[in-house]
Amino acid sequence: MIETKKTTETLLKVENLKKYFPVKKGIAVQRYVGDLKAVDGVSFEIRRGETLGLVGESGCGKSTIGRVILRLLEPSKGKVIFEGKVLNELSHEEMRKMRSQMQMIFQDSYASLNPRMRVGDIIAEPILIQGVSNRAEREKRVCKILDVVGLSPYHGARYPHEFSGGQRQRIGIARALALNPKLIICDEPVSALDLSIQAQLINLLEDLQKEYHLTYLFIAHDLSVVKHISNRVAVMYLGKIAELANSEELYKNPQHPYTIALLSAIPVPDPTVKKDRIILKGDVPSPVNPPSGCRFHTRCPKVQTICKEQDPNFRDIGNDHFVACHFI
Amino acid sequence: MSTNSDADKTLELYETSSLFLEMWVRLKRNRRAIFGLFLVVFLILVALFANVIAPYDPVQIALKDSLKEPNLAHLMGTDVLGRDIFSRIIYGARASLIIGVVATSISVVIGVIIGAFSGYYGGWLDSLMMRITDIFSAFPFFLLAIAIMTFLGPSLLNIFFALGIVGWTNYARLVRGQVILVKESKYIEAARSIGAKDRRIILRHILPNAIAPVIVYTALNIGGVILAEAGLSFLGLGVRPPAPSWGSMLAEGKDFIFNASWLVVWPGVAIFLTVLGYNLLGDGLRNALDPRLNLRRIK
Amino acid sequence: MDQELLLRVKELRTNFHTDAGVIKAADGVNLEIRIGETLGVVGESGSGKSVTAMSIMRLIPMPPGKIVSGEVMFDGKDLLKASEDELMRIRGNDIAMIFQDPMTSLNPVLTVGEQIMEAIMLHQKAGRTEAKKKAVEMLKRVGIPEAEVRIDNYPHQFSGGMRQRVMIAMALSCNPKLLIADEPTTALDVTIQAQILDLMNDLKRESGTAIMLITHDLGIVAELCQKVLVMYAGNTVEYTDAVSLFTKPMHPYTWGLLGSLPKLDVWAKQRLEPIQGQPPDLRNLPQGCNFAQRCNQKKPICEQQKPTWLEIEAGHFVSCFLYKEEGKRHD
Repeated sequence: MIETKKTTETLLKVENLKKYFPVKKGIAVQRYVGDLKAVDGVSFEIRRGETLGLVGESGCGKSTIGRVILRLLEPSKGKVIFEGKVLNELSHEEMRKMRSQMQMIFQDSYASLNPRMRVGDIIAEPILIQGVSNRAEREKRVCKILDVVGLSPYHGARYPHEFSGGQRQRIGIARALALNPKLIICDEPVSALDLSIQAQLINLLEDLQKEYHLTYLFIAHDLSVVKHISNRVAVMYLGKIAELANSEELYKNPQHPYTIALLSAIPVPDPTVKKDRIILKGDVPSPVNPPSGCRFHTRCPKVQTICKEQDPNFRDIGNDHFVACHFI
Repeated sequence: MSTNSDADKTLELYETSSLFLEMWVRLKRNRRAIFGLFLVVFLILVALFANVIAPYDPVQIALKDSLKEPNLAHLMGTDVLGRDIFSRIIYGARASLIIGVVATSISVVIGVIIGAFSGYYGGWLDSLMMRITDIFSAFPFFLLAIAIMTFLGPSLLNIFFALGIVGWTNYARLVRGQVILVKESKYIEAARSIGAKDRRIILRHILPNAIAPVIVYTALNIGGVILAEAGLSFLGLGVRPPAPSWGSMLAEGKDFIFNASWLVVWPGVAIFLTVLGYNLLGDGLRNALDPRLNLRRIK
Repeated sequence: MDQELLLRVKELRTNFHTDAGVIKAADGVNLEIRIGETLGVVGESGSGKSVTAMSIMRLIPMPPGKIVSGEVMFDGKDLLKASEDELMRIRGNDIAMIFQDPMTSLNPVLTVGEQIMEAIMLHQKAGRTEAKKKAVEMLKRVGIPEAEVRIDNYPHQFSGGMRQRVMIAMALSCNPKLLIADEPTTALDVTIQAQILDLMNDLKRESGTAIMLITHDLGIVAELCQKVLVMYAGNTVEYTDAVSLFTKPMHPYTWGLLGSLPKLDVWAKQRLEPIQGQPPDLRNLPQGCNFAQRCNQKKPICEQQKPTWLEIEAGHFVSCFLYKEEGKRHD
């Protein structure tokens, strides 16, 4: 939770976003057999200065949303509106220029850094691309950014593999910061890191947010980390948002049966607490042929006939708390 | 999420430095590869300093010295026109090296460009380019070279062209495969997210990471190209006489194989050592770059 | 020696010889597990958790690995001195193991049934029909629906959670005395993890198998384990029962871990208190305590000498200069 000036002003708005991937089968002749509905009608907004957490299990589409927002993937349907501009209507060249406003931090810092480039060049690259051609000026800025993320100028001369996981993630953060973006999409930025290093990085992200007035979309599967860093949290299940609320409200007063089960499933690091765990039966269904009606009905402990037939609306139940369930 | 066990991670942390340094460290320990490297370097030095090393002018005819056995004046003997074989072998190294390097470079350039475009853009461009590649590689390599040389006539320039043009298809396929692999990397996505243009992504991010197997293949291939040049020259389609070439020396000597065997033995040995050198080096490089052999190597 | 003691590891050291130098992956590991007890082994990557487990099983690839010294007493036998034949009988039979990624530990071209039956036939000298009956029974026990049909399926036809169930069935098919589980739920989603943890808890109660649970998740430790071992840079730094680890941690590294943990049940704004710096290079460990450079309680002696493994309170072992031995020396 951050002490920056949070406003209710919308920075980014996502409207009925859909991303389908065609699924093909066959060895010689590829035959279209259906769509993998990674994101299937998602709407939310990110407010200036806040951290919006996006949680869900693997395959729920949370990472796809991040990539569609940045137009690293083109949406199948729906709109992404950033500061009043509809991003998916921009030309490639206009979009390329917009990229300085919104950046991304990747989960796997090792894979996301070019192993053949020196760290200094990796951080300088966005500055160069967005038009600073003076080498000395670039180097000055790289040194400054290295310092900001807790590295030293001499680290710039080294290659990514010479760093530990935590340091590499700092490099990833430095690259994202290089262009003074307004929005940073953090895609599981700490989930590959060890606990003590994870805590260092979370603190760093919080400090940077305060100092540079950043807005975060924080995508993760770890509910404790998301709770710690987010102002508001959205819970995704199979390509849709099940519940979205203020962080404290969501964790104290979860409404959707999926959120309730998810929260109860987290092992609590306190041996004296014995909690009633709701064990969901079965696995997450395939997003290629998602269940009819409410996506969660195959595993929901409170399932009724209507759940199999009708897709529940995602609606406000007051107090800025949105739920998609027939019985709330 | 990574599937590596903790133990694997522990080892990975200590993986050594940049690709080329690492390659060299491992290559050093492979004796056969070092022998190959030694042969290749030796050959290059001989080619470079041919005019210093060679005791005679390789094209100087001295009929009175015709078909001399190897002796102190002519270490490898003389051929039917009395030319010093030792000097001709040394100048032949120069021809082989130039042809090997230039023809291979032509193949690499064409192959890398076609492979990179094909792999990066995919779609119809990929299909078109790969079908062209298929057509080229449907001809037997050597027959195509013979056909081109017959059509164009023997000359150094034409050899470059013939051997270069028949060799690029394998590079194109290799590069295309690598590019497709590297294209899916997260750092390519990262480069796009900072607004890098295609040109930058290909040149700065994809190619440097896709090039390692090309180096290996090139080392292996130069030997083959040199062998092909020898073959063309043997057939009289290669370097134009009287310029020395190992292949044409073999051709000229073949009639005397029983009474003046040194005429064919020395060029044969030269070709053999050259091809052996490049193959050992190439094999060594391949092993040094094989990720499966990266670790768990005993000192 | 304690009658109940199933496994005791003393001063185990395992090195890996690589191009870049000697990695001291386990550098003085001490632990004990009693019959039917669950020991959680926590630590960050590179702390030597998995290497310890592999050393106990004598499954360290040699070379480059080498168990340099130490003692692994299992059921009265020193496994480090056992012959390969004896080890073959123990592995899979007395000690079974499950891994983080069940896909890589299952053979993709054999049905899961064949793989479970193989272990049963090998170790229990059972016939095919008997082994198949036992295999179906095991699959049912780990909660695989339609076990009679699923037994003829291949590993890829199972989901991640189901594959981990199959691995557990296979591991438990010979009623091992000790099950070593290396991050068994790390690759799974929270709701699936909850299913597997629930299953492991039930099986533990029914079978009385001792478990050595390697994990990085302190939550899992709190829920499943009676005893906890904390490892750092190849050393064991603290060993105690689960409750006192969370209520009365003694080693500064354990404090740091607990301070790094984002808490779900705290509503006030909190700031994490991470451990500064990074773990040391295992090729180049400091002369003194391996944790000294990151420790906020550092004293001059910490950089000069290695702390010894002392029983500070009954059943609470710590390796740190902050404490003086109060009970008898552990022997």
